[in-house]
Amino acid sequence: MPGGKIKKAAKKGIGERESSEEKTTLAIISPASFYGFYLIPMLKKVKEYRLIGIGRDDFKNIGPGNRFYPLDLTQPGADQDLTKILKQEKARIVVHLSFLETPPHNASWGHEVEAIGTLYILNSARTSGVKKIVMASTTAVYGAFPQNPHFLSEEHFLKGTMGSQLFPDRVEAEREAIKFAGQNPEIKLTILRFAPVLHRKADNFIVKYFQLPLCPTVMGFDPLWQFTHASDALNVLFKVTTAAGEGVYNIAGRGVMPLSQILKFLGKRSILLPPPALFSLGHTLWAAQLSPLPPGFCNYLRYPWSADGRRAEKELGFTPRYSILDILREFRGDMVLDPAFG
Amino acid sequence: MAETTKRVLGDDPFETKKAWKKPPKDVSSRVTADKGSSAKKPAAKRAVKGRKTSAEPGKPKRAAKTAKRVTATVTPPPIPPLPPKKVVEEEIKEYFRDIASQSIEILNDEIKRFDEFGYDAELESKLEPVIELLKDAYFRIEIKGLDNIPEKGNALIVSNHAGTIPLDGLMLRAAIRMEHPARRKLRFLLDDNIYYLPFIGRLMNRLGAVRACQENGQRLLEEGELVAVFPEGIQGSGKLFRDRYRLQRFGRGGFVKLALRTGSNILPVAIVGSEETYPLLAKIPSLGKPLGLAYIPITPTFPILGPLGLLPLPSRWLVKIGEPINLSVYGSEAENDPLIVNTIAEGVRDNIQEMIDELYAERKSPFF
Repeated sequence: MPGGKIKKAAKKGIGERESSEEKTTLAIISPASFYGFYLIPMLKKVKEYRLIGIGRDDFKNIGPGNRFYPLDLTQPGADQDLTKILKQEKARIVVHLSFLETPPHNASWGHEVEAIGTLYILNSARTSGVKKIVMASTTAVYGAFPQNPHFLSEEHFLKGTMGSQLFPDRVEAEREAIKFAGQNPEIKLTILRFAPVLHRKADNFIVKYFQLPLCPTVMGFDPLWQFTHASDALNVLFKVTTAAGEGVYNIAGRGVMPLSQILKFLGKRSILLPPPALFSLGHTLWAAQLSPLPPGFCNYLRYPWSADGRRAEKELGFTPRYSILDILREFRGDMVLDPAFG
Repeated sequence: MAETTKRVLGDDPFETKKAWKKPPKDVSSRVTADKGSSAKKPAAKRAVKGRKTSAEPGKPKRAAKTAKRVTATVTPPPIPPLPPKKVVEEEIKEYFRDIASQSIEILNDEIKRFDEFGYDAELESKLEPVIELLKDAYFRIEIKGLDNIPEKGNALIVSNHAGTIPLDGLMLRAAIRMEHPARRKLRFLLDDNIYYLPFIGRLMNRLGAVRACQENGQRLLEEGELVAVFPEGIQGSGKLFRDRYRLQRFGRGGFVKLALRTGSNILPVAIVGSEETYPLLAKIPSLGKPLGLAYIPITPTFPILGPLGLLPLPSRWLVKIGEPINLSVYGSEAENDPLIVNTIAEGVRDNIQEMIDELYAERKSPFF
């Protein structure tokens, strides 16, 4: 038998059974998302990993020997299918990137995808013997409140936006994950909370805000905003996936900047509105599906929600390579900092 | 992956090989493998290289495998166990250290204008003439005891609070910045009700104020800044004129816990003159609530003269900075002992009250 295995390994087209015994199988949920799209080429170069992509949107070019399974987590029976896939492929690491970076208009569908989907993934991981789960989250889960300190640490209570439409499901998903990690200590869970990645392909709610024809700001308020560069974000994600790293970390770029200065720097047209006008306008446009941002977003235009990245610095040794000015210059189109993300 | 060689502005450190700390061992195989590499490749490759050498020391070199076809006699390596946490932590740190050190110098500018708490150096320098005018001609501030403020290192200034729109933080900052030999920049902590006032709060933040909470104060003190707190809070700034210069309750002793936790000295400060900037004759909380304010103030000038009534009256200010109170004798667990915290808070309060009475007696008239 050993001879047969080796002869097969020597050939170019390696069968799945054999290769999965040599390499560690890494499952990526939602490879067509922004993080997945850039993470997969980085992982493909690591010969020790065999990748399987599981997601709703078709993903080509997952690589020779790797496999993509179409699966919609909102369909009934998705959890059994997921368990079957993970068991069959003997996945050891799961990277959960199936999150909605922009709030969906269909709130119940959003709940299905993020909260219930995460529950399915966690349970399937436990039954299939997965050893490590990595989740990509956002610093918006802390919510923007007047009581927030300038730099929110990871212990800060996640309030999301308390009843409003911004990321309540993400908060729930994180809570489930942390509870799960407490109940299953043998599975290593890492949650990375990224400050918004300002990249035109990232398609998150902050990029959508800057792509509005007229950016609304609140009269008399000027919060300090924080971003992460795409390559910093993916570097951390890659490193945390391929090496050990357990726990919840805030990941952000260097420095903060007031919103008014950011808008001036990017050359965006902005409009000052008093809070009540902004709320009612926001409600109307959101309900009419003309605005990509729910009314809860107004808080993010007023109160602090920047995250403290010191734990990542201390425990992972991560210091961001790019400062907020670099990120803004790149977003503005002045230059390309990292050709891999061009 | 984008294999195009998109030029980054300026000298690309990866092209000039300045980025390589240690030159790669097998140059021949590496050169054939990545001709025309993008910037991402070396990082990923080096990650792999590092991982291999630390986790599997006895395995054949990767270069050998890729250069020649796998021969039939090579046994496939067993599934490696996940490396123990200690080893991998060091490796992660080294990886990120390498990346951080390769940052492109042209783009690596520090943000000199805004600091992480929202202070705007440019705005302060633009408004400096106005603030200096306020300090020297309008309020005619006389400050004593400046040598009690250390030249370097953290210290917690504790002061009495007054004025519906409290200018004491701003004036204290101006006085210290302009008259202290080291020109230290004071960060003062403001209560929510002022900090979130639409325009004034934002202006104060740009001029050095920070929202008052334990985390902010702790972070500032840990970074070695000079921090001022006003423990009376809105009770102090909302004092009616007839209760002037009588110190209210000093909160729950949060400033003492802050000082104990960060190991900073407490500097008691008394400011006389700030009460007369907005002599509060009465206040109406019920009218203020719908507007989001704590109360609507009634001063001799305010509702009568309209918005002009919100200008402060030109009282003469006397400021005294007392001797530093060293709390190192208590140790850091003392912050959990309410008895010690309350005793220290009361002590500081009495100290400040004494200094206020002294300065009040010294001052002949509030405006001249």
